[in-house]
Amino acid sequence: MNINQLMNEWQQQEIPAPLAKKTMEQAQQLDKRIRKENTWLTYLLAGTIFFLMYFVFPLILNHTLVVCLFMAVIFLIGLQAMILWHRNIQADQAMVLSPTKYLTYQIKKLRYNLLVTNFFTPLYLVLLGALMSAYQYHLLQAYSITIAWGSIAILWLFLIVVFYFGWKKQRQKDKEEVIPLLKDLEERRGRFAERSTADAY
Amino acid sequence: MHHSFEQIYQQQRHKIYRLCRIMIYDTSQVDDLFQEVLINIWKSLPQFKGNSKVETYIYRIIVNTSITFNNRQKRLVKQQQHLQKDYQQYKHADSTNQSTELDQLMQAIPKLEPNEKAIIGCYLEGFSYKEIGAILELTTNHVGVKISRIKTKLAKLIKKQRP
Repeated sequence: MNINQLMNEWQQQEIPAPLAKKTMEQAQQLDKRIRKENTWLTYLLAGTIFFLMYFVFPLILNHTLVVCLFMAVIFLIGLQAMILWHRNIQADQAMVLSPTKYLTYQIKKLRYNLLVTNFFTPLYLVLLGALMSAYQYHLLQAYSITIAWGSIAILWLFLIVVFYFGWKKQRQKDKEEVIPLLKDLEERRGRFAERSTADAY
Repeated sequence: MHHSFEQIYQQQRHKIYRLCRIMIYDTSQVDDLFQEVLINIWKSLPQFKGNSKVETYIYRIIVNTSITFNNRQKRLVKQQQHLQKDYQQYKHADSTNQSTELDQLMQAIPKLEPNEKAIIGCYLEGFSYKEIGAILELTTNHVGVKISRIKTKLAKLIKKQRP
């Protein structure tokens, strides 16, 4: 068989007309849906921040710790929105990279997700627990130190149990899906990037 | 930009579809991949600065989208096992009069590695070695060597397929 002779025949193959029409319509619908969802998410985020700042903030001004926590929540919401926005832009930009660079980008993303599971999530739990404990202690110490410490113990127990099962499930998922996928991507990147002996000349 | 997207769609849709079919080769999935590729082209179009040919740009998106698409399937091995079955379904659905040789070639292509599929896909579309090199970021020499090897591999696969 001569592949060169088949090129012309190959290039004459066309997309089935109904599929072309259907796909174009679906693409347009999806695009509209994405725009609509983005608009609603923007309103929701702006609305939540406005609500918190305008209605809740004046009520808590007397408690310094609560104000700090409140500001931290606002900051985290904003930061998360920025990260998601940046990641979306990065994903669009990555699409036009060469396959080798694109695979490197995918691998980095997966490794970052693993890092989040293994490092940032426990760190987040410790920070959240510490702030909530401080708040609880601040609220309950006036009544009884025993109650304050007891509620802190319950809080930590709750956080550790919830975190442990969540973390275990995520680790299982990583082990079964993410790590094999990572290996597969690395192998494929190797194939895309491999250099033949011809390049040596 | 919308106008440009329409133009790209009108001019390139058959090519896009053919390469999607090479990269996935499953009727039920090729439609989804085709749709996803179009969305990605639409989303990435504002970043197209015209430094390269629009085909180079589009073909990179197709290859990269198919990588992501395959990742999501999580059932790569099973897909490989069902390739033959999928091809039969595809053949039944697509009732164009393909020659026996083209038919055999299309049966053999899914058995190639993803990078080989991308190279042979571009080659069959009539891209020069230089253009294929630009899409996949390979040297012209390497593309030449790879195409020669892929052709040999395809010939062997086709020979095996024959009763």
